[in-house]
Amino acid sequence: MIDLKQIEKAINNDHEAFASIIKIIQNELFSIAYLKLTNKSNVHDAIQETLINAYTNITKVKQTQYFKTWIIKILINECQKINQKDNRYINVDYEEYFINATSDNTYISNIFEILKEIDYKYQIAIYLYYAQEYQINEIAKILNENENTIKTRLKRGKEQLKNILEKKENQNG
Amino acid sequence: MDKFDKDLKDLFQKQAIINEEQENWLDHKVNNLERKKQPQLFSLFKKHRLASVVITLLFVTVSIFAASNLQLFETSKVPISNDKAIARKFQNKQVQNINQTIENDEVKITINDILVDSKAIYFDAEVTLKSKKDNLIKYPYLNKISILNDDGSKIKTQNSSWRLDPETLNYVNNKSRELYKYTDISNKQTLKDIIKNNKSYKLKIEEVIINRQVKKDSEEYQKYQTLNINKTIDFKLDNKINSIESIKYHSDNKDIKVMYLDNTSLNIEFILNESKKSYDNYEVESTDFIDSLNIVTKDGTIIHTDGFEIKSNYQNNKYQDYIKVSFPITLQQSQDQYKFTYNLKSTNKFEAIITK
Repeated sequence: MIDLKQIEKAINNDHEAFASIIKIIQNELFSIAYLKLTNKSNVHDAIQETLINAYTNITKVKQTQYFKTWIIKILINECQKINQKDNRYINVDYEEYFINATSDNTYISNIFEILKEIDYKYQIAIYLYYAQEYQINEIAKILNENENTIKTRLKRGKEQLKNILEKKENQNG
Repeated sequence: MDKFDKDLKDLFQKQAIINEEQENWLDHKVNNLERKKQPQLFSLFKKHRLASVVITLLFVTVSIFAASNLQLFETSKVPISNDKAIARKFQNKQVQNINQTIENDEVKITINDILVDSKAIYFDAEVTLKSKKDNLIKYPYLNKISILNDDGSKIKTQNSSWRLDPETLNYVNNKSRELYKYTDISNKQTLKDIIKNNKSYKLKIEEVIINRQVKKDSEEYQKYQTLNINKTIDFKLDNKINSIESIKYHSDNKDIKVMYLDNTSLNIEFILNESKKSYDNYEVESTDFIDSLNIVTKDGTIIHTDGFEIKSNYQNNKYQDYIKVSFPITLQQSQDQYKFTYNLKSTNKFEAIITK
């Protein structure tokens, strides 16, 4: 949870406050970049550009409670810019970025790797909804789509995830 | 929301924690943002046409002048204060103080510590340039360093290539402090596997590179200069150093940031409970009380038993979210394992094993 006072300080060019906010949301930033991009160096490029953009434009944030939405939107835009320029597909290893957490379910080694198996356009919507607990209208704003599109993506993404998980569960008896 | 939705949320919450390497990378980038931030003057004058014309003329004049005198654009570098980042890089590593210096007329190199973790060996080194003939921003760092046997021969490794990967800890003009990390490029072997305790080795430093940053027409570019050093320092790892990696944490315990043994003490950094922090004019105070803390050897001998208060403090314009507590203990050569237990008032009983 980001302290709104810290955001206010960051808006007033307090570097320490900005750094502390990034610390809190670092997992989310990497998760989104990991889902959106398929090239390892691009993940770093996208996050770096996002940090610079956010840091230099932070005074434009008018409502502190929307800071996180704002920076995620910047990151998604940066990822899209990179994807338009670079279509090379290189498998990105989850462990390059994250601690490989163990799961209680033996058939789910890693929910992120499973999420990468579903249709590309459903991944971010699913992540924002389930991992970040954003509302449908907020996801629509972040992704520049209308709410019905997001609802459809969530529904279809969820169906695909269910199918994959059920298959894995059956394979593991 | 059905059960599947709930399970999915739980799964996401348990995963996607970025690893130390990425965390360090991100810290480094965030620390450097302050330097990257462009002057805001242009955005202020954008709205005023006349002012922008004046600024443009001024810029052209200064640019012409700059071509004949590059130093006009030099700016003093702000020291990066990142003690917390340094502390984070040192956690989970065995630390052994070396404190050896080599120098010539131009440069002074101090190796502060040698750190070892499961993947690599690190040298915490400061490089200081002696000469300050000009006002150019200079950033010196070690370039070619290698580890040799005591007789000067190369250490035998399964893989001939080792990756030298320096990470900036702190730097000001003419001085840097970095962790020089040696790691096997195939990730199959570590220097820790090769370098044995209580045996002497040499650290050979061949070169220092000076990265001279110059600003020309608002574009940064670098000029490099190489200094030959070719000197060695002797070191050996002390077998009393114990590995943090052998600590076994209680599965859901998040109270301890780092715990390690050095030659004289058991050191524990407690993470203070986030929910207990209260914000009042930027100051944060948090307290907790450890009812009892026991350190016993594997055979049951009690080394330490006590209770104490842990309280956050406020340093360097920021609250500390952890507190370090050291307990002087004498390690027993015959013992290879110590059991460490405590009762934290706010949490359940905690137990950890620390192994030599």
